[in-house]
Amino acid sequence: MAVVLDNLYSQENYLISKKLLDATHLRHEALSNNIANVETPGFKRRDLPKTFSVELRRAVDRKDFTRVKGLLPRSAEDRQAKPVRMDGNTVQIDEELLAMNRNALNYEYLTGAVGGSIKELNTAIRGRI
Amino acid sequence: MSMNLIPGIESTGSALSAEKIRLEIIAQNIANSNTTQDAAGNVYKRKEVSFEEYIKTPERRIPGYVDENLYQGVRVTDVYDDQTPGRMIFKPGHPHANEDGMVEMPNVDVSREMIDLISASRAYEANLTVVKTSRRLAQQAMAIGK
Amino acid sequence: MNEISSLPSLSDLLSQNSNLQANKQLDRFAKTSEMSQGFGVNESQQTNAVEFVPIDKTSATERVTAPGFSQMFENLIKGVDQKKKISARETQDLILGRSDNIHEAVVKSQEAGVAFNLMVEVRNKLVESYKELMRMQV
Repeated sequence: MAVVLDNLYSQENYLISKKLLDATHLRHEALSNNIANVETPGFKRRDLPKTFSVELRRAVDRKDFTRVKGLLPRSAEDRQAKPVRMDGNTVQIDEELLAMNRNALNYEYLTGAVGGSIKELNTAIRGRI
Repeated sequence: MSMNLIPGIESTGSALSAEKIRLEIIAQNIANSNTTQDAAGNVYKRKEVSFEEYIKTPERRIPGYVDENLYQGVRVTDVYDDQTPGRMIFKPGHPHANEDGMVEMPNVDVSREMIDLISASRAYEANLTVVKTSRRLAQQAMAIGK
Repeated sequence: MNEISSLPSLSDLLSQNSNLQANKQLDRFAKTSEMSQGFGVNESQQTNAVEFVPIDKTSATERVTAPGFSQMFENLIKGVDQKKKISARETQDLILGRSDNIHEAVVKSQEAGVAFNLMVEVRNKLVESYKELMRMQV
């Protein structure tokens, strides 16, 4: 693989934004599933563990971008969620919807950031907008 | 397996279907809250739906693929009769009264049905807004770099 | 053979293009990539970067460009090809329903596009330089 191309796509924020985009996408799916199961008896809500952003930040602080690229976001049962109903369902619909809205805004920002980098590269290469 | 561009749409769609069925059942209960005899000669028994989380079993393990798509929302597994005996009312002149003059009423508690109706509606509405959000995400992704 | 050693490096070419605003990013990769190694951005490297190439083994184009450069360009083509393959695979997964990562497919496809644009622009510059050389009075 040409070293040139590797350098094109090695910008810190570009890599971080792409990884966060993966995580945000995954989180949206988990939250959608939670809202879908708001009335399911015994259902336990799932989410992206908070350790993901901690790991990401740690890797960036250490400048370990191989690690950044290798991080894999996964959803897991939220063990800290308390049952809100007699049947053990842990989904609070208002919280869930709020989380989804904030997550969606993150997604909007990240797609803009990643797209912006791509457009910038194209402009630089072609020499015109 | 079909193309799935909108994230989480399988889950959301399943919830819309399930809650719709539930709403229909609740409406039926309320409509029949006074039906002392149906076509088969029995008193109406309230119907309930049972929801279950829908988790797909993967067709095959594809190495390297993250199996996040197993969680597909919710499913109606059964519609069954609530066999709790209904209230017995003393009404000797009633056409469906027994030898003691008692009539068994349907075991439908309308106020409880209304509460269920509100929950189901709320769940349905919430999932509708999720569809809008999910679609927006997909459109934003498609616009990257353009 | 002064023409060979006086062939402009990529960063020179890019800075000479009046349409191209000074772009730190582009400068950075031009200076740090294989391209510059083949050319020699530093003055000290310039004389060492060029070797004589036997005439019967090269085409007309290769004769006027430094041999390191054609190797580099070949690597670039391979890299672009690889990016295109990755993008095609991701797109196929998406449209067949094997994956639902729409952002992955779009990003990979855009990255392949950018790489391709880069290759096209490099090629254009090469042809331009070649033409300019050919116009020189011997």
